[in-house]
Amino acid sequence: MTNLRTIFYYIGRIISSFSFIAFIHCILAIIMAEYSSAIDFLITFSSFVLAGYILILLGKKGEITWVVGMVIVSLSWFFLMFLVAIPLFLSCHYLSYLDSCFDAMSGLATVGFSLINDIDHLSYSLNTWRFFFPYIAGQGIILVALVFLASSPSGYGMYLGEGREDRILPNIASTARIIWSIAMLYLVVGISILWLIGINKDLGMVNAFFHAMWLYMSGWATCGLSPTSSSVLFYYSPLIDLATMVVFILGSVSFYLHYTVWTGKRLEIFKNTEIRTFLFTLGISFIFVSIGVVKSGLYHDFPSFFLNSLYHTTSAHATCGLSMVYPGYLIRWGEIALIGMVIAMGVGGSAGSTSGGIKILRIGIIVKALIQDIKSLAFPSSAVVCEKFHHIKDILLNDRLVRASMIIMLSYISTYLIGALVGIMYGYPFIKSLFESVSATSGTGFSCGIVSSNMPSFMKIVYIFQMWAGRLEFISIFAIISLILGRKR
Amino acid sequence: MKLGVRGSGFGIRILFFLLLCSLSYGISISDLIQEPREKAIEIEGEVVGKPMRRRNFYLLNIYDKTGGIGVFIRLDKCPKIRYYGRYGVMGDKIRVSGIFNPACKEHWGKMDIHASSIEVLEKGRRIEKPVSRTKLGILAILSLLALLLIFVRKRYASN
Repeated sequence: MTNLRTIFYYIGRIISSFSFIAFIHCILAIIMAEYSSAIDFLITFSSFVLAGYILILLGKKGEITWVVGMVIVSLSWFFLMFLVAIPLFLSCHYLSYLDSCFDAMSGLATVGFSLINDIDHLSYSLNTWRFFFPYIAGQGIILVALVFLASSPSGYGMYLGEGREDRILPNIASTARIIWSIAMLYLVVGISILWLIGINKDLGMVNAFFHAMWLYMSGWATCGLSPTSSSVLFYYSPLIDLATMVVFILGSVSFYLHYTVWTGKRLEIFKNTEIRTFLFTLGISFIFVSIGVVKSGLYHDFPSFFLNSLYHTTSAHATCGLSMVYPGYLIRWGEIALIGMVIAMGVGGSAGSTSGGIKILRIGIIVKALIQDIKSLAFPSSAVVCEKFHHIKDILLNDRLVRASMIIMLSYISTYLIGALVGIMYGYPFIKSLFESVSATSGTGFSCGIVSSNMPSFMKIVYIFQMWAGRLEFISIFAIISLILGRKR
Repeated sequence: MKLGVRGSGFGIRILFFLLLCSLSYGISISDLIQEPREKAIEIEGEVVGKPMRRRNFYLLNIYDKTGGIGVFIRLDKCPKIRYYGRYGVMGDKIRVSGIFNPACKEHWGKMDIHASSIEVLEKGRRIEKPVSRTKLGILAILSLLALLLIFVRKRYASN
């Protein structure tokens, strides 16, 4: 009971801390003369404050243990989903509140699926709301909250709960500052470049600024949401394609690696196991996608084929989901290409980045463990075979590390398959169901046509769960189970 | 000779019929996306987003409730678009005639329409978005409850 009250208290604090975001969006709506949206944001602001204070009053301040920290992170995601969905639902661009919740979770989990209708008539303020939450969720929504809450040493449990395992500096506040300094630098540079391209492409000053901001946030958070009904295809600009590709690749790289490179260790890029594994798995996926695309016969010249294949494979691997084709068009690339995309999405980006999926570091560790086992067969049983991998520093492979990586990988694969099974139960073909399920769990947001406002409600709920579980890398779910089991004992 | 004229007339009719068959009238954008190859089409939709100038062309994005697609048209052939769809504005409804490209060689393999002509069917308009009274009522109740809870919390904390 004490733990439960502590959990309520801190979730309440987190929710009330984030109420100011709704207020800022209300001001933005007033500036842009979107008065109806301004009222929606005021209602949202009041709801944040109300929900936050109810939980604070129900709860009690207490010590945050590792498990409690994890549970706080997991449940705050759910509470935030219901609140973030409020202005979406009030905008009348959704068929139901469930659809709004689906989009809210898709944003918070940086997935990028969307059930919105008539997106081209959405207000500036509501579009900014749609992109702002994935952006801050990508950086670590709870990490931000911790800064406001003037973290205690036990607050690190909350940091771990988001799936960010890298601890750049010993102190959590310093970690938060480093993450935000790197993110802010990229934000200013990224938005400026995209803004200039937008102006050059005749989008208009104000419009180009908002599109630059939204695209940057979407790319950096590897979210893949788009402000238009035709994603980046809307701009017909290879410069925007290239810029967004650079942004989502940077977003999928570990903050730890960014920090190391920015502090002068540039050679780390070439030595890092994650980067090497990324290039390897990207190569494999690209081969599959290329074969599929060539077989489809859709593209008649090499630049078109290469640009489309590379952009989408990279977007899938970074678990971004920004696309140069229409939603549902990917199915025309054929099953081989879809398998390539499934591999890329399933593997995902770097641990400690904004991307989702199993994570390339875990794949690298498992491959190294396999090599170690094969090597040990060639030596006498008395020989000790050691294998190491390089991630900022040389790390010796041990059973604990391999076991942890295997558990997370198996959790992902099981969830991918369970989601696919649900799709099959509703009559969708296996490859489409698997594609959509992997896309939801890995936080990519590519769709080959199943995800739409017309899909069955149960599937929406299953995908919401998959997005949530995938974002938190299952660790937080294990924490909830362990807390429940602990209480029973 | 007579027969020859008749024969050529029949051939022209057949050709005309085939041309009509190949030209798709009034199809939706989502249907268009399924087309596997280049095709002469005629399509209707609302202009969304600001028309963008690309060298000697304008790029218009049109939307028809089923999807959106980019349309390229020469500057001299583009009619004046007064309203383009955005928040609070319904864009001009236009009819586009031209060639649909599922993977355009000129535009990096992207799907588009190269229009030969555009006709404005219906002028767009501003859409009033009045502030709902129901929403104002909900806001008042939620704000009062939130203030009450903040007050209770302050009292509770001070005790």
